Amino acid sequence: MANCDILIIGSGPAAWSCALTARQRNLNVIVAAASSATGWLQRAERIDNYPGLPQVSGKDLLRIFRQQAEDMGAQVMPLLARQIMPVCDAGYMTLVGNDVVESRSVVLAMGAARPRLLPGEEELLGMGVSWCGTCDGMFYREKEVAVLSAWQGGVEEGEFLAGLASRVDYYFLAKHDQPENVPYTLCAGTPRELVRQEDSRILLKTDKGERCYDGVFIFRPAVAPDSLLPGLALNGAFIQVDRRMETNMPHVYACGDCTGHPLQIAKAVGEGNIAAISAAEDMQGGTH
Amino acid sequence: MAKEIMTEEFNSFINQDKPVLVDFWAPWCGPCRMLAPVVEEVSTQYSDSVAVGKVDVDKNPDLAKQFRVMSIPMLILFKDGKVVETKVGYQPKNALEDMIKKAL
Repeated sequence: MANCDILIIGSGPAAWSCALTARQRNLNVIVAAASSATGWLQRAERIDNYPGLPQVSGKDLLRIFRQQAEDMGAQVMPLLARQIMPVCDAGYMTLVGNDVVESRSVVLAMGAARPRLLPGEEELLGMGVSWCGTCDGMFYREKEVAVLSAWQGGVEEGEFLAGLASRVDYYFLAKHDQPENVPYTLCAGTPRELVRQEDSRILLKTDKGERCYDGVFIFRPAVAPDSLLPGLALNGAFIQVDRRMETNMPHVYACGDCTGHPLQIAKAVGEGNIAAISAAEDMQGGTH
Repeated sequence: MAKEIMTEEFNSFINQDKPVLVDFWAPWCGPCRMLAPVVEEVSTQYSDSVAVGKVDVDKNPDLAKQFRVMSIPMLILFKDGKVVETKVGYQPKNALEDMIKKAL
């Protein structure tokens, strides 16, 4: 189990800015940075309204932000934060990939993208549908499974599952690169719906046809904020915060695109800075 | 303390006068490690009214199969030896308390 003062969830400008300020305040920082490869900033060819770095590309800007935060001592876990839970007197425990991180504060900076679930997905979780290959793969030894992935993270999970299951079919929920010679079958067809059959198998319907599997594993680069942290107050699609970037949960802050418009780099960087300062102040003054 | 239960003793463990909560888990499962302290807390706090056990699915694959465990952590609540409620994935303490209270 890893331990830190502040766990920052995200891999964009708000996350790196928050990490920088938190490190300047000498706090122990872990950044759960699942992937910035799927974000819009990564694909922005030229940015003209970020002060001090005229005409920088999104990719370069993210690289510089991250490098600066790492050089200052922020520890990066390139994994998806999947669930946060309060611990009575110790702050929060967060499931990052398959590891548990204990922190006194949590900063949510995961951007505005919200995963869209497939019809049937939520109802069938734990009954043939899983979001965790490492956790549930062993229940599908010598069985037929489908991997539905919206990002690069699905590759590793698919490779892991291919070592257990008798058949692994890989479907794309969103376009992403694949290495050569993968141990699973790449399938055409965009997943549309999951239906449980009488024999407990799962019928996967795509725009090109349908097929039954013993299990369906679904991987995305993001988790909806309110399922990441149950009880978190939202304002429409965004996380509700005050001027200190504080959410309705104690010692949980949010910054950047996930708190709402304007979805701009300069605003995200400013909010990341405020979130780190607020977290530092509350830890020094509070009971945590 | 939640009791580690093996296949041989499972039937007698779930057939008790009080309700029985069983946590199906494995040491390599992250969400299981998050749930473990919650299960321990509930087991201590409600020791008079509920028996709490843990089944390692690696050591007891037959039990996992019998209860169609396809995802862990999985919590099953038994009353008079019969399944009354199942929950999959990490659960906060109040969800466990709700499960127990319904069975009392």
